[in-house]
This record gives sequence, structure tokens and C-alpha cells, in this order.
Amino acid sequence: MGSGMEFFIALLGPVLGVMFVALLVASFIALYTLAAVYAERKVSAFIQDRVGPLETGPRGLLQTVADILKLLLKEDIVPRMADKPLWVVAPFVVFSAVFVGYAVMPFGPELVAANLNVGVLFITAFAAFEVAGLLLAGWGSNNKYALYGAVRSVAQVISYEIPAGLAVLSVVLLAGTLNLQEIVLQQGIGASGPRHLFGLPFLPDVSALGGLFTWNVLAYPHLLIAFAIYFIASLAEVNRAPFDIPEAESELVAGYHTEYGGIKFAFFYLAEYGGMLLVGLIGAVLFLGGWHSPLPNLGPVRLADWTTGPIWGIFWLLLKGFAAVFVHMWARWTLPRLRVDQLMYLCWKVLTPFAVAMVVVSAFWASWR
Amino acid sequence: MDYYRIAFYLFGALTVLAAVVVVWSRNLIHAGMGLLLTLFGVAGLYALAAADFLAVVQILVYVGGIVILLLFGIMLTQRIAGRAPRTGVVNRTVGALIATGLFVLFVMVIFSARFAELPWIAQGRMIDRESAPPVGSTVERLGQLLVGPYLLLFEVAALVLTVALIGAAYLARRSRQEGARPRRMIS
Amino acid sequence: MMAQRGYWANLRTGLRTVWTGLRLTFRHLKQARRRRAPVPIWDPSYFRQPDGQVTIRYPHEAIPVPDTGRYRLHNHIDDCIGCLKCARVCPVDCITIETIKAVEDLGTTSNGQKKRLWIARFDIDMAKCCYCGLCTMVCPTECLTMTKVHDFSEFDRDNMVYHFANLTPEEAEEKRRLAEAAAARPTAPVREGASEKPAAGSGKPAFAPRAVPRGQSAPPGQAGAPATRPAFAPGAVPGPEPEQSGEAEPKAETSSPQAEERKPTPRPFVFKRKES
Ligand code: SF4
Ligand code: SF4
Repeated sequence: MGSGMEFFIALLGPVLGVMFVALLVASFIALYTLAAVYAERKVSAFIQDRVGPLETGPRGLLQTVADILKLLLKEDIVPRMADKPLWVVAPFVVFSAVFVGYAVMPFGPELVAANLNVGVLFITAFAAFEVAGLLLAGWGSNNKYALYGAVRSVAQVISYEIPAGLAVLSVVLLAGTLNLQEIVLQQGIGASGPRHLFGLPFLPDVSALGGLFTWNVLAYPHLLIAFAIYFIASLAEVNRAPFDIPEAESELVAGYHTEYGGIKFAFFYLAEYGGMLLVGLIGAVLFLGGWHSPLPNLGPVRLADWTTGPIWGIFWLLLKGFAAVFVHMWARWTLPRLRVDQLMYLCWKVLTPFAVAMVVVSAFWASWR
Repeated sequence: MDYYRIAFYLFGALTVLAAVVVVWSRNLIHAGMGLLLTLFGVAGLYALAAADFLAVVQILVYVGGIVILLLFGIMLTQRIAGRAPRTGVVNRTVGALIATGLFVLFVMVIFSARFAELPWIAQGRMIDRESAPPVGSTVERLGQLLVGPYLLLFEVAALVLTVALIGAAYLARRSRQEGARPRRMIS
Repeated sequence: MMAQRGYWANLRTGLRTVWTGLRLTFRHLKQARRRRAPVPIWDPSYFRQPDGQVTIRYPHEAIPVPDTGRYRLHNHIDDCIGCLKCARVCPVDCITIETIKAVEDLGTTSNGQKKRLWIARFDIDMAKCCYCGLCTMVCPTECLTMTKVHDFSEFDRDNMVYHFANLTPEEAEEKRRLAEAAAARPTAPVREGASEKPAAGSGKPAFAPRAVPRGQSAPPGQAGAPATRPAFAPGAVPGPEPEQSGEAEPKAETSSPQAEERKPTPRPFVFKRKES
């Protein structure tokens, strides 16, 4: 089975007998979204000295369940002047673009649905597909707010793909592969080559130690800046505050999903939260050791060995992903929305030059090593 | 019929049907979306031909970049011009003539070519499907080719893109007079 | 703005402010474990609340309202003398009163005022009330008060009308009959005709029954009443006014020309307001 075939499985997973896995991931995303919406409400409430949902279920835990039930029961309205085919497919395009990204995500030593050789590019490419979905939604709604939201979103996502891509590239240069699983494997105890602390040859080799020290951000300290760039750019790519101008509720009602309701709206929600987790997971895989444990082997206390395995892999990776999602929420309830010119200033004049610098550093590092 | 074949025909059908939409849809946005699907189908065909890198780049560049910007441009200019983005039918006779001519030409080429005797096809036919080593990633070999035999072409392409970038920046820059409004641009 | 600041200064400010903001919100996030206690305003800690959640989960807990809270109205009907001051002063006209002249002795209120009227109806529409408190201020017997009950929302707007009168409709009918009989007893044919006229013409059921007996029964018992209480004159106008041509005119003439002149001025006011 060639890599093209693998790519193909990632593309049409359900049809090709991995339906079970796909369903598993889909239901995981749905459940996670329920939890994340609840968490977001609680985080925002606590940051603003409020209490958040409390009435539905114990501690308000069933609030999001009630919300999704409401969405499912709602009438499926199609605006009369909407461009119907585009309007109908848009939410599903947006969701699938995010969903497909999970196919190449390595969750554990042997746990990856499609071990693509071009995994990094694959995810970036399908992020672009999401943009197409947003554009469809904005245009199909035949609503000026929706169209403005979509146009803003496209301008933003395409711009921020550049610093994000360059930050990813600085990792790829050092890793020498586009395969996400291999990138992860390099960052743990099973790494093939020697890995010196902070990447400096005169410091001790830590590849036997594992844990935190073999993560990319510590093995190559300049990747810390690359990680920051990636994180900021990924916030913009999933349209989260402070980069939420595509759905700026104070100016655009709700941006591209203004006209949507019911189950279609729910799909936008799934895509938004699924996207948040996805970019968090990619960040974890590229910079924070993927499914590797942060605990090092210390002499006889072999913490890294003890905390590695399929279950541990899922645990650690999701932990890192959820931490990223939490920071997304934290930033959202802290920072005000950027103006469009500030958005572009940040992307083109701050993030991109620094990302280019990181790529150059990585290139020198890789050739000097 | 294995999965591979099913997938091949699915992607082929997708490509062709979407291309038909591109040609026949009078709504420019629908045509643009059709183009997007066509390119996606082609990417799928690339993937089936074990060209994983090419497939992903196809999606990344064409679907994510070019078609999106194309649609973007249509949407913005349509709003400015205040007309519905529709195409008309013009130059029927000439168009029909050219299309038929091209079609005949292609059919002739296809039937006169003897694919079985082409060297790489002949080679491929000799490889035993089961025992052959799996096709590895094409990324490495592509990279080596790009900075090896095709270095000059690679650099020329880079130069062209740089010039395009500078040109775009020139068009978008603020005019020299202090306080003047930025030059008006469409898309 | 950005161009003038300089690239690096701008970047530094950006990073610093983002960091400050994130620290601030994280502090609040941590402090969310604590919360404000629902203490009343007389508690010393009311204005010194610690950090943490400020939400009071209202239906489950509430900040106690002081006993001096001025919310829902209450009428201690036993003390009400039916003077109508509250109804007249109310800026939104949400008090409706119907009185019936009592033939028997009703005793006095708790502060010693003589009660002369049955209160057949005393309704306050709390949905209209603006809680200005004017009605409680003018009440001569201080029977109309505001209480500290502030949460009395209803599903049906009619339930917002509070009925304070303690006469049943049958009793009220009985009293009314008695009052009319009493009014008719010192019968004179002139009065009979006069009493018919305003009742039909005024179209104000709330005022007509009260106004008619009082205006009519002037000679025997109540002759002094309208004179000693000028405040009532405007309110009584709609009822007795038509009679003035027939019966009350001589009285007005005897009093003074100024009074005659002044009289019409308040009338339109009263009339207009009651009509709306
Ligand atoms: S409080 Fe004011 S508004 Fe309410 S009944 Fe009394 S006078 Fe009328
Ligand atoms: S002012 Fe007081 S006494 Fe007079 S009618 Fe109103 S409640 Fe009764």
C-alpha cells in the first residue's frame, strides 16, 4: 500500500473500513465540544467574577447538552434569497476540513489513523479547505454581514497561514521529515540520533533521559519563539479572539454564520472547537513532544518509560491539546479584538519577519549539526 | 474491483462532473466552486498515483490559495459593480469550432499513442505488485531533484514569484504625497 | 500611531500589555474559588467585599431587604377612611376606590379619625405603580404603607391588581341599597329628579355613587362636609357639577364671587385625568 493509498484512506476513511475510528473521533469531537463550550462559559464567568451556568444539572454540567438538544430540535430554516446549494453544504465543508485533520494526528506510539509522509502539509492544506467553506457560507447566506465575515475570515486565514507555515517549517527543517509521527518519535526516549540539551553539543546527551528535555522547544530553544508565533497565528486561523473579526458580534452580528441555525449552526460550533483542539494538538506534536510524557527518566526512577504507552500517549497529547484550548479561552476573555489594520500589521510586520528569522536559524542549525 | 479502483472512478467522476459545472454554470460563484472541486478531484487522482506531495500541494496552492482568491476577487468586484456575477454565451461558432478541433486532436493523440511501449509503463508492468517494496515518500526525491538537476528552473520560478510579490507591493503601497489616501484597489 | 511609536517600542508595549492583561485575568480566574457573601447593606462588610465571584444567585439567595424597604403597597383597610387622597395624588392612576356612605356608625380609625364610608372597592394595580410613594405620604390615617416585599411577579397581569377592600360584593350591594334608602328618606321630588340626572350622565361608576349621595344629602347631615374640606371639591365636580344649575347654585352664590371664579380652573385637570 503506497503512501498515496494512505493519503486516500485519510481522505475517505469511513468508506474504506475505518468507519469505526472515524465515528469514534467524530463522537469524541462532539463530546469534547460539549465539554469545551461548558468550560469556555465557566472560564469566562470566572474571569469576569461571575458564576457561569449552574442551574441545568449538577453545577450546570448539562447546560451544553440542553443547548445541543435545542439546536437539534430547531426548525431548519433556509433563507429565501440564499444560494441554496452553497448555503447547505458550507457547514459540512467547514466541519469536514477540521475533522480530516484528526486523521493524521499521532495519538500514541502505534495510534495514528493515517501515517502520512506529508502529514504536516496535509493539515495545512485542509485548513485552506476550511476557508473555502467559510466563503461558501458567507456568500450563500446572501447577507452582507455574513459576506463581510467570510471575506474578513479569508483575508485573515490566508495571511496567518504564512507565519504559521514558516514556524512549522522551522521545525520541519530540523526534523527532516513531514511525517508527524516521526517528528514525535524524535522528541522522546526512542529517538534515533543523539539529542543534546538545548541542542548544544557540549551539553550532555539527553536522549536516554527523555521527558521534557527532548521536546523540540527545549532541544532547540529558538523554537520557543517559533512556538509562540505558531500559537498566535493558530489563534487567528481558528478565528478566535483577539482575532475574531470575522465573527465580530458587535459589528457583524455573527459573521459568516449569521443566517445559520439549528444543526447547521451546531456544525460551525463543532468546527470551531474542533479546530481549536486541532491546532493545539499540532502545536503539541511539533513543539511539545506530541504524545511523549513530560516526565524524564531519572536514574532508576524510570518515569518516562512508565508513562509511555497507547493510553498514556492519548492522555499526554490530549492534555497538551486541552492546555492549548484553555490558553485560547484565557486569551479570548482577556484581549480585546484587533482592528483589521492591526491584524495585518501583526501578521506581516511582526510575526512573518520573526518566523523567517526562525527558519534561517533552523536552517543554520540543521546544517551545522 | 478493489478500493483503489472504486476510488479512482469516484475521483474521476468528481473531476469531470465538477468540470461540467464550471463550464455550464452561469453563476460565476458556482463555477468557481466547481473549479475548486475539480482541482480537489485531481488532487485525489494524484494521491492515487502515489504522488502524495503533489496531491497535498495541489490542494494547498490551488484549492486553498488560487481558487479562494479568485472567488474573493469575484465577490468583491461584484459588490462594487453591483451586478450579479453571471456569464453569458458569446462567440458560439468560433468556440464550438475550437472545442471540436481540440477534442478531435486529443482523441487522435490518445489513439495513436502506444502506451504499452512507453518505457516507464513497460517498466511498471514488469514489477510484481506483491513483492515490490512500498513506494516511499516522494518528498525527498522531489527535493533532491529541485536543488539538483532543476536548480536553474527552480530559481527562475522563485525569481518570477519575487517579482510578482514586489509588483503587488508596489500596487498596494501608499502614494507618495503625505496624507494621501491609499491607492484604490480592486480585490 | 504605530508608525510614530517605533517598531521595537511598539512590540515591547504589545508584549507587556498582553502579559499584564493575561496576569490580571488569571488572578480573577484563581479568585473565583471565593465568592461574595449575600450580606445585607447594614453588614459592615457590605462595602468591603473580598475579591471573587460577585454574583448573587438570586432566587436561591438574596441580599436581605431592610425593613424600611419601600416596595409593594399595603393598605390596612380597617384604618382607611376612603378620603380618596391617595387615588387623586397617584401620578399613574393605579388606585381605584369605591366608597359607600355608611348609615350606621363605623367607629374610628386607630388614630381616632371618624370613619364615615364603607370601602366597597380598594384596588391597587401594582403593575402600573411607579413606587413614587406619594400615596403613602398623603394618607391622613397612614393606613397605606409600602412594605419590603419586592418580588411578587405574576404570570397573569390581572394578578398584579391587589384588592384590599373587605366587603363582599353582596355586602357592598346591601350597603349601597341602605345608603340609597337613607338618601331617599328625606324625600323631595326635586332631589329625586336631580339624582337621576348625574348618575346617567357622568358614566363614572367609581365616583357617581359616592358623589351623588354626598351632594344630595347636604341639607341634613353632610351640609358642612364639602365646605370644610375644600380639597374634595375638585374631585366631586364631575358628580355634583350638573346639579349646580338646579340646586347647589344658590349656595355658591352666597359664598363669594371669587370662589365661583376659581372653581372652574381645577375642574378640567381633574376631569381630564380621570377620563384617561
Ligand atoms: S406609589 Fe405612587 S404610583 Fe404607586 S400607587 Fe402610590 S402614588 Fe401611585
Ligand atoms: S389616602 Fe389613606 S385613608 Fe384616604 S383613601 Fe387612601 S388609603 Fe384610605
